[in-house]
Amino acid sequence: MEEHAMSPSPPMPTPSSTEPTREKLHIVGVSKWFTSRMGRTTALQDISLKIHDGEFVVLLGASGCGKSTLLRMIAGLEVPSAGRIFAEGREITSPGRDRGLIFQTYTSFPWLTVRKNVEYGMRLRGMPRKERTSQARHFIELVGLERFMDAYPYQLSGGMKQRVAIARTLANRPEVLLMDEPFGALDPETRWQMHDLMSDVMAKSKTTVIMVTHDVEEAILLADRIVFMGRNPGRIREVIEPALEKNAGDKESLRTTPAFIALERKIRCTMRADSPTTLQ
Amino acid sequence: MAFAVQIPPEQTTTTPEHLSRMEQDEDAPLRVFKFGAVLPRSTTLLLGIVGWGVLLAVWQLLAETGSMSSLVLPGPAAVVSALYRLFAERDFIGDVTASIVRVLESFLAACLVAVPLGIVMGAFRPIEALVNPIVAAWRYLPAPSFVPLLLMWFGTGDTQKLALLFLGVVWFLITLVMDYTKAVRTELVETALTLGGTSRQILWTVVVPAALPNIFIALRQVLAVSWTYLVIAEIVAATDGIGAMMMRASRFVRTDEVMAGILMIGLLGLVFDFLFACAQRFLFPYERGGT
Ligand SMILES: Nc1ncnc2c1ncn2[C@@H]1O[C@H](COP(=O)(O)OP(=O)(O)OP(=O)(O)O)[C@@H](O)[C@H]1O
Ligand SMILES: [Mg+2]
Repeated sequence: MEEHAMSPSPPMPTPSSTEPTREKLHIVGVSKWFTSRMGRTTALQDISLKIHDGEFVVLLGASGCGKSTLLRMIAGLEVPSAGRIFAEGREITSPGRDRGLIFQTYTSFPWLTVRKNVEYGMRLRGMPRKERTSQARHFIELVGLERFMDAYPYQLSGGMKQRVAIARTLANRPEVLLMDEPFGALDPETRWQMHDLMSDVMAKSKTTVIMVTHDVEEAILLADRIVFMGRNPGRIREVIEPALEKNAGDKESLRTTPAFIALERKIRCTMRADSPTTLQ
Repeated sequence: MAFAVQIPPEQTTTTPEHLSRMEQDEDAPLRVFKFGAVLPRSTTLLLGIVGWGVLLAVWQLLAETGSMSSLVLPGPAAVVSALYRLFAERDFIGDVTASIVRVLESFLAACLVAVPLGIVMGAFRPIEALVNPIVAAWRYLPAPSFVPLLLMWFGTGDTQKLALLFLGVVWFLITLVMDYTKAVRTELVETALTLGGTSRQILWTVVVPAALPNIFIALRQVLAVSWTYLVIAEIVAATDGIGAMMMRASRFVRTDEVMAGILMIGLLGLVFDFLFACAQRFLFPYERGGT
């Protein structure tokens, strides 16, 4: 893993002031490397990004460019090797309820039923049982699992388990929602439902969202801003703002608008431009 | 609404498709070397009986052909009747009870020490670093080598026997519990962290429930080990217990009674194992479907 020495880093597309601001999230010159017996792997190099309150940011990029690592650092599960991350001016040093993370892998607790899984965060907080139950029911219905309220995770399909995780995190009402390829295991129909759900949640609760995906269409449809990352070492290559009229008509007609097509084309070209280095 | 739960898991898999597959399997010739084959319950039971039947037949045959004196090797029938006589005429039930109480008491004591200790060792690295070197060293010391020491410390009474049984299993149990606790998926702990859990909350609501099914398996295995130490504990200056009875019988060359004692321990082991299996199914219903 010596590649980071040879690829010339492109000019930073983001404004990188080093002063922490009261921004919802402010990532300031963050690098992350892992040292192991095989040497040092630079997962992320000099990432700077400001994320505003209520913004929906999508991270797009090839496998291994450090998207999960970035989310984990924002969640407070991993400490940056260099640089700092601030949430509303306070440096992030540990995980907290204000930043919910939906993992790339299944994380439903196997010993709890769907209902108990979704109630989990509220139980930690000591929320009264009645309120907890009604909240859990609300979010389970949102993700369409009301028929499986009392099922255990082993009785669910992969996509259903992922929806449990989504409901569990939403029910905890985080201010920042971090999602690591949350809809990867879902069929297109459920995926679309989840998109509507996300738009809904965003509109109602003003949650700030950072979502990782490999799906360009999903990125365009949901994002206020798309952060396109490159790898070796992981860095921000481009930031795209898909300024589409999202509320105009249905999703299918939006997909065929010239603006959408142009954007999709632009992103795909960026992805292609990234791939030569990935084939080494 | 909750239909997925009210159906017991065995039945959820018996969709028509599964049924026909099972029937096929029953009609098909038994394929021994096939990975992941589904064996019908009846066949499983039958094979178990066949195994035992062959063993008993060979044993009986060896005893009857007289290649070995019946004094040295009594047949299975003789052993069973000796067992019956022990219960009917010699108040064997008292010995059996004494042994069961010893095993359970020492096992419970070992659990009370090993389970909490193993869990905190598995959950918190500094505690592991502090305690594990000690445990690792003790694990390699054979418990019976402590008998002379225990005799000096506790005399010939029950305490000495309980101590031996305790020492025989506690180190293994600590190690197993620690390893199973460490094997809890980090994502589960991290999920709880991002949901706002404190260390104490996560220990009780994630680490313990996640490790518990495996810890239970460890308990089940270690209880079996406990029974193997029983005879060693009871042949040293014991007046009651299954092992003591066997020692008395061997002095009078009552091979049939010695073997009846062994049979009894085997039976008790089976019973406890069965009880454990039932408890497991009752306590961890969500484990039946795998992950
Ligand atoms: N705990 C770790 N120890 C060592 N290296 C790690 C660790 N976690 C991540 N890495 C390395 O950091 C780099 C980025 O990993 P990361 O999981 O963040 O990628 P990703 O963008 O999420 O990829 P994907 O799209 O496949 O999920 C990889 O090269 C990986 O090998
Ligand atoms: Mg990832």
